[in-house]
Amino acid sequence: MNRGSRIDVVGGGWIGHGAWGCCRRQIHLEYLDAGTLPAALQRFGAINGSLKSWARFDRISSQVCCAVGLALYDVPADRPIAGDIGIVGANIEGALNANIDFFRDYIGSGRQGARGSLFVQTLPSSPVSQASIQFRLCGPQYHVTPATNRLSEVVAAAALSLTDGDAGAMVVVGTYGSEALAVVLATGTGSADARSLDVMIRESGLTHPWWR
Amino acid sequence: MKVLIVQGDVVTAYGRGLDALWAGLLSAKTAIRPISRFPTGHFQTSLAATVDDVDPAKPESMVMQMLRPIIAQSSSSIPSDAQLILASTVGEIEWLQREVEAGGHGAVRSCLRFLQRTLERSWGLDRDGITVSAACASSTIAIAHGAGLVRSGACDAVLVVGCDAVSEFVFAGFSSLLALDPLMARPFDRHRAGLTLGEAAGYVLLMSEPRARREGRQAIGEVCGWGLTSDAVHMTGPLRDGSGLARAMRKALAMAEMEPSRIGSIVAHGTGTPYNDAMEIRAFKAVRGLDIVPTYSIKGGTGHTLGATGLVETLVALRSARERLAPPSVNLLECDDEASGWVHRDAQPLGSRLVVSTNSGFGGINAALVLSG
Repeated sequence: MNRGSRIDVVGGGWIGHGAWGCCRRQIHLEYLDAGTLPAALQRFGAINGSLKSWARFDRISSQVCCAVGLALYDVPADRPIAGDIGIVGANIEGALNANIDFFRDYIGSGRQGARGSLFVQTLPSSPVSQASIQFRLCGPQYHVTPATNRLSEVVAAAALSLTDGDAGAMVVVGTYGSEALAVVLATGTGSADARSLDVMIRESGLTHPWWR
Repeated sequence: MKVLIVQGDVVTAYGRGLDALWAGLLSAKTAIRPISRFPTGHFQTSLAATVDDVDPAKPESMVMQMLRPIIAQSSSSIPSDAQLILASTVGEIEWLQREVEAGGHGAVRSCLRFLQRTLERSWGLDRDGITVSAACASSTIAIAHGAGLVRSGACDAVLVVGCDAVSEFVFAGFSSLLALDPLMARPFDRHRAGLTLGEAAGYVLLMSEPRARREGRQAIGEVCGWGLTSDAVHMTGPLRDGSGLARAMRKALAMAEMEPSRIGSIVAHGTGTPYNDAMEIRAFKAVRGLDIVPTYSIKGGTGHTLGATGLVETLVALRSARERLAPPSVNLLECDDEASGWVHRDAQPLGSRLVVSTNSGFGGINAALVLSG
């Protein structure tokens, strides 16, 4: 176990209003339409492989996967990660919109036919599951609704998986409205590339109090 | 730092309390029956395992109807500084159902954070809790997280609460995935064809050993280790060879510093779906050093209780270890060849108090606990 180890934030990616970027690499680029983001990030190199499955994602899943792709891209290439990479997702409303979409669709069918493709989105953990599949994250995976609505609490929860030795790195990804932020935590080495969460958030330009 | 389980309670379709659950499982009779809570004619089945007197028409949510008596009975013994971890997949989803049916837009009340606050107030807790949601592995991961908090010294008392109810929302969803057995769940049976939904609610109180000793609390068990992994291949289907779950089990055993040969039994996720049950047996066989041990699923009796299932199975595992008896796998008639020797129709004597509990969920989530009863 790594109890007492320092935890570093080694990469960060974010989606804001009309802009996206990577924290450590200080990348800040603009976009007009959120629907074009996956293709843009694929061209950028933050997302590999086919985007075919993304057509079925709901908004939160797409935000999460974009932010996670950017965060993983932001990790220095020479930063070794031993062990599984896990993922913890967080937001305030859980799967509320997906739940409404599913049940409204079911009621609209006269209660005759629910759609499985909508039902699989109705778990708060569905977006991080999509990210786990997209980026082959084989470590711990779950969703947290923090008590005080601050991402820092979720980071603390994820850090436990590192100190327990259950993962070599943990991605923490939060969404709030149209914004998303993902950071990659790893056991600290004291390297110059390490950042604190506050610095990563500041570098993202996301300003809502949720991101504290 | 040892993580002790000092208290727990549960309600399932077998009735209120662990004694009712244990007696029901030992009887090998199922608590699954036809339901009339909502029309089921267009679903794959009309069967589920529901708790008596829980009624969606009542003013209080179904999960709170299950939890109120438990809270009343336990609140004087739950310390107010305990950290709450709520585990659920859909919580009070009927609020959303009613709002959508009425054409409204105010379904926010169905969000899990509201249920979390209700539970904090009801139990008189003065710390802010969190909610963990990880599909059908929610409670298991909540217990692992709580144990991590205790082991790290961040908390010395954690109240893990698991709950989910049989709602039309969830029933429609699983039926749309063709995941329900038209008859009833038959975990590890050769002819199994799907799961049966169930509902349950309960809690376990985790405590550090020093605090438990100080307060004179007797442990009913210990969380010795845990392991969490993801298959990372598919939203609803597991990795067929069981390698993801096997890794979770190895992690849990390594954390517990235990040789697999010391494990005396396994309480499996055992949903009754063809793929899950096959995957689990392959996972168990893939853990080198794990002997063929009595393995059981409770879901033929209780139904699949979703976010509550890991917590219910933890309490059963601890009772099983204490009684040195693995309960029968209810509804098992003809054991699948792959599970032969592992899973039994009858109760099995146990030589060890060490149990592995496994759960898997949508999104390829795997979780394993090593428990000592």
